[in-house]
Amino acid sequence: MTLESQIINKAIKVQIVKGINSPSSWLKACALIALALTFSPVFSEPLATPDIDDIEYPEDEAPNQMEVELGKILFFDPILSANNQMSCATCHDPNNGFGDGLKLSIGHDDKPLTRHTPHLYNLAWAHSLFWDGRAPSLEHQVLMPVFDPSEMNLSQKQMLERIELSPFYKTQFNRVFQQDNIDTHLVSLAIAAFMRSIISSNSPFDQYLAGDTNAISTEAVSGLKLFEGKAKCVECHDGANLTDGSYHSLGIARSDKGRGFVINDDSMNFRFKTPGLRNVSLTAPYMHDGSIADLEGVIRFYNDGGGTGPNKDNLMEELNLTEGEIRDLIAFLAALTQPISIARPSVPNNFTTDPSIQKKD
Amino acid sequence: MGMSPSKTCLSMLLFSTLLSSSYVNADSINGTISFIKKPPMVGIAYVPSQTVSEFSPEIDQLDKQFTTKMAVVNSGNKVIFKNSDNVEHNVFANDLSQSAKFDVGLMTPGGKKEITVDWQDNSIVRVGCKIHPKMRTYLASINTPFHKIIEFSKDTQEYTFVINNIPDDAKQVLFAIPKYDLITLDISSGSDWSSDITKKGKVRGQITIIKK
Ligand code: HEC
Ligand code: HEC
Repeated sequence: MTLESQIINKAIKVQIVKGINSPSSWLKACALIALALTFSPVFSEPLATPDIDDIEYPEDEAPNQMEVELGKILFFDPILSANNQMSCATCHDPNNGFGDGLKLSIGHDDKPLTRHTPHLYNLAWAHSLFWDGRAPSLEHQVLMPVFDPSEMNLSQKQMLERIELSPFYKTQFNRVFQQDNIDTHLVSLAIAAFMRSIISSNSPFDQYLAGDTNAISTEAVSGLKLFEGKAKCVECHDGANLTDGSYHSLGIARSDKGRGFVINDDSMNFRFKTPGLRNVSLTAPYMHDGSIADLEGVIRFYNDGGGTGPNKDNLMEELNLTEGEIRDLIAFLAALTQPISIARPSVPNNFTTDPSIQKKD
Repeated sequence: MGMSPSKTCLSMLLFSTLLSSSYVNADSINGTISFIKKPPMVGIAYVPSQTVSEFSPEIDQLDKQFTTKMAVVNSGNKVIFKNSDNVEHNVFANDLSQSAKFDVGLMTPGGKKEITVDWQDNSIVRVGCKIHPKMRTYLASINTPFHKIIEFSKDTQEYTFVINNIPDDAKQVLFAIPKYDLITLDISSGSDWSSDITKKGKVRGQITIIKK
C-alpha cells in the first residue's frame, strides 16, 4: 500500500468513526450491516393482523348476516351429498380445525380422496383456492365438491331439486336474495359468504402485534425471530395470513403434478399452494398429501431441507436448527391459535344428519 | 448550401409546435373524485380525440407486484413486461368478454417479454400472474393522449387529477374504473360537471370536473 492510500484509508476510517460517535448509532450501524448480510433476496410482506378492509367481497359488499347464516346451514346439510350422509362439515369439521384429522378424507363410496383436506381459516383473503389454485374465487369453488363424483356426487339438477323441495330453503333464499327461483349461483353465493366469515384475527400473536408483549411466551418470541430469520419461513409464509398465495415444491410430491395441472409448464410441476398458517396447531396432519403427522414433524422436515421429490424450491436447504430452536418455532406456530367455534345449526327439519332417517329421493 | 441537420430539426420542432397550438389551446380538466367507502384499485379519466397516439408501455415486476396499476395501450402496438424480481413470474390475461387472451409463459428473474395488443380498443383488461395470484394490473386501450391514470389507495377517499392541454373542441370526458360503470360527462356546454360513480348501478362515490 502506498503511503497516500494509507492516509486516505485512515481519513475514511476517521470519517466513519466520527459519523458513528454515540454507542446507539454504533449499534444501529452494526444492525444495518447485519441486516445487509442476512437480508433475504425474496420480498416478503410483513406479518400482520388481517384487515377486514382488504377482503374483496363480490360487488364490494359484505354479505348480510342472513346470507351468512343460510350458507352455514347449507354447509352443515347432508342433502348436498348423493347419499344424504355427507355435508361439507363432514370433511371440514369446525371442531377439528375445519379438517377431519385424517391423512386423506373418505369420499363417495367410502373411497379415500387423493389430496388432504385443507383448513378453511381466513380464505376471505385468498386469491386462489385448492392446493393447485385451480379455482379463482370462493364462488367458483364452493360447489365443486358437491358436483365432484369422488366427493358429494350430486348433479346440479339434483342439488337444486333437493333445495327447492325444502320450504325452509325456499323462504330463506327468498328473504336473502329477494328472488323466487333458486339457482346454483345463489347457492354458491350463500356458501361462499359463510366461508368468508370464518375469520381468525385475534390470536395471541395478534395481541402481541398490538403491543401486549406478554401475550406470547418468550419461546414464541424467539420462534418468531427464527420464522423471519434463520428458518426463512417468511419467504413463503408472509403477510397477515402467513402465505404468499403462491406455489412451491417442497420435494414432497412425485406423481401429483399440483400447479402443473393448471399451468402447462414443467416448471410448475409438483408445486402446491402455500397454506395460510393461522390456527395451524389445530389442523394436523399437514401438507397436500397429509404426509406429516404433527408440527414437530413439519419443522424437522424443513430442518432437513425438505423432501427428495422433483422440482424442489431453491429456498429448501438444511436449516441447522437446534432442538431448542425447533421448540421455539413450534411455540410461535402455536401462538397463531384462536379457535373459531361455530355452533352447529339445526338443519331444516325435513332433512337430518342422522343416517338412519334418510330422505328418499 | 441547405440548413444544418440541427437547424432542420429545430425548425421542424418549431413548426410542429406552431401547428399543434393552432388547434390545441391551453384548456385543462381539473377533477375531484371521492369515494363513500374503500376505493377500488385504479381508474382512468380521458378525453377522446382524433389525435393519433402510440403507446408501447413497459411494465415491470418488483417485490411481487406490478410497478404500475394501469397502463395505456393501443391495439396493434406492443406491451413489454419485465421481471426485476428475484422470483419467477408468469404474466397472463384471460378476459373473454373483451376477447383479450395472452400468456407470456415463465419469466425468470431479469427476463423480458412482449406481447402485441390484439384486442379491441376502448376496453380495460385485467392482467395477472399465474404464480402470484395476488398480483394485478390493467391495460387500458383508449386511443387518446389526453388521459390521466389515478391510482387509489385503501386509506384515502379523496383524489384530484388534471388533464392538460385538451383540444378546445373536446365534447366529452370519460371516467373508467375496472368493473364499475363507465361515466361519460358531456362538456360541450357549461363549466363544471359531476356524476355519481356507480358499480352495477350502486353509488360508490362522486366525480366532479371543471374546465380551466
Ligand atoms: C369428502 C371430503 C370433502 C367434502 C365433503 C368437502 N370438501 Fe372441501 N376440500 C376437500 C379436499 C380434499 C380439498 C382439497 C382438494 C384439492 O385441493 O384438490 C378441499 C378443498 C376445499 C376448499 C379450498 C381450501 C383452500 O385452502 O384452497 C374449500 C373452500 C372447500 N373445500 C370448501 C368445501 C365446501 C363449501 C364443501 C361443501 C359444499 C366441501 N368443501 C366439501 C375435502 C372435502
Ligand atoms: C419455499 C417456500 C416455503 C418455505 C421456505 C416454507 N414453507 Fe411451509 N409450506 C410451503 C408450501 C408450498 C406448503 C404446502 C406444501 C405441500 O403440501 O406440498 C407448506 C406447508 C407448511 C405447513 C403445513 C400447513 C398445512 O396446513 O398443511 C406448515 C405448518 C408450514 N409450511 C410451516 C413452515 C415453517 C415453520 C417454515 C420455516 C421453517 C416454512 N413453512 C417454510 C411453502 C414454504
